[in-house]
Amino acid sequence: MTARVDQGFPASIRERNRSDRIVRRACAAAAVVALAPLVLVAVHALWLGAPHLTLDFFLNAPSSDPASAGIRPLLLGTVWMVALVGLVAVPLSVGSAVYLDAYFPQRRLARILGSNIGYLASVPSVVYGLVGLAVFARGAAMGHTLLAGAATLTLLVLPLLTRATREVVRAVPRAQVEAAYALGATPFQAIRFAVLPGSAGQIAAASLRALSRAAGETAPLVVLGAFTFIALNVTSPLDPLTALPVQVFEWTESTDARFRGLAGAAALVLLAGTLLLNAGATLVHGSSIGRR
Amino acid sequence: MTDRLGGHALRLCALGSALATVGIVAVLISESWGFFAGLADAGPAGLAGFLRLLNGTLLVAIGAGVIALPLGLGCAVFLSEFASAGTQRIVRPMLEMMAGIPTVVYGFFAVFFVTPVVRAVLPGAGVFSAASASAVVAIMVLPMITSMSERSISNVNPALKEAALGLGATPTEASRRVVVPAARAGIMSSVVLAFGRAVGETMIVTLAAGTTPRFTLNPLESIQTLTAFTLGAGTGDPATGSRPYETVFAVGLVLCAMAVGITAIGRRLTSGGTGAPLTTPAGLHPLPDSAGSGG
Repeated sequence: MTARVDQGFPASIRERNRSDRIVRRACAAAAVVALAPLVLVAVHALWLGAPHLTLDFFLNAPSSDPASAGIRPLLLGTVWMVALVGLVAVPLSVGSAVYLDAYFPQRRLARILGSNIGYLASVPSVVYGLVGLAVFARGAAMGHTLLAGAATLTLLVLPLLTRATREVVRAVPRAQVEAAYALGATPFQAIRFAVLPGSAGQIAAASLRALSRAAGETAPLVVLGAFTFIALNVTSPLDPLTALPVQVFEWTESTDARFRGLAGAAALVLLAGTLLLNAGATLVHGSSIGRR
Repeated sequence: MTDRLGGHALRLCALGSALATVGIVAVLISESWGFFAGLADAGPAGLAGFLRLLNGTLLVAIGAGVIALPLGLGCAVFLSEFASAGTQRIVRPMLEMMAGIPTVVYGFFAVFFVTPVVRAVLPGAGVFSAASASAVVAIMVLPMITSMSERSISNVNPALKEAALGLGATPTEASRRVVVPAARAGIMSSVVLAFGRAVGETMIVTLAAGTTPRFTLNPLESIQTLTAFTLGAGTGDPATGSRPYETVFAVGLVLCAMAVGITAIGRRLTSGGTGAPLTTPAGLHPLPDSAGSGG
């Protein structure tokens, strides 16, 4: 650093103050340009999609006729899968986080798994689709069902959620757990009364974020062979695999310009759903921090 | 009794995660085995197809990096060095929201907004172009670069900045010449990890850049990426063990290896560099040596 002191500083302070202002403005401009797409994406989807957001759009099934096409089964499919993912992924990741970091800190296993989980989280989501196709759809003979989709999305969300939950559990002061033990708590009671109460809010926030991710994932479901042109009511996890994001993809890809508005409306619904889940996460997170 | 049962249940959860890691790699290898076994017979022809896809992937990902790096770094410096607390309270949740937008929605935005703009500005661009995909992938990875860079900039010891200011540097001189260089490792790492995310991105790239595999350095042309090729697997519904099926899994295995390799490089940058570690242990840490391993 010392060698640099005499390099490249303009001589006059006025010049330096001027470049100070320029750099500040450039950084602020970068921030504005970086954030502008958020507004643009939302406004653009509203612009194209809002005219199609009628009650019928939510009640009808997808159709080759743009005038009567809707998203009802797609929405139901996404809700089913998100619910199933939540039911399986949340307990599993909380369980492994607690086991690795609180129950009895497993140094070696925790280190190995911790690094594995990080790598798993970086694997592209299409690849999870391939694994789901081989293991769930064909290996376990689930076929092209919502169940296979939910299993694949669980696999995809699990590393992200486990990583986030572990961070929450690790932030619980070790002394608090030790104190519970000192009072005669069994390990399970220590977890139940010393670890979980303080971290529940943040675990809920992480879970909502993971579910938002699951709701928006498209590529793995396309690889699994999701259907979109079905006029069925979705009533069980064994119904054909169908989901809102897949329909956004197909309507966007369609060469028929009449589907553009429908794509916008579907994108808008998906955007609203995922942003609501994320906003819920931020709210829960904020209030749980405040209570600590 | 409940305790022992609970312990077993918890152990099962953790082992399940361990199994998933091994399982994913095992499935990819076993399903693509036939492809690699047959590669020797196919010769260079089989490889050329793969290299075309790699060309497309790298073209889009490098383009996205070139667009996202200056914007992300500028935004990070603005947030950590110049923004008021009130501005930060607005900008941070906005970045979080951007990170939560599903990639199909970005893909829709790419097709009906960014592509027309790109075609208006650059008349040579086609309906599908790598440039449009790069621009939108850059938007997608921006929150990641910004938040990770901002964290490593904020982690720089404030005494360094104060020393620079004490020596008579203006605030931006201190940022530019002292703080940002000290956070270099974390910033580089964020860019590398964002590059990995761009390599794995599928929906934006398929919708905006199309599905025409070719050797090109021209971002105005349509290309096909490794991920876009993989996405086609479901639409064709190839039979297990068939040649197309094995090929798709081979591409999946390559994608998986690239993602893991890039992540490993990104992590090495933070643990070996001169900058502060990305995560600081919170509270009394049960695992004092794990600060570097959290991704």
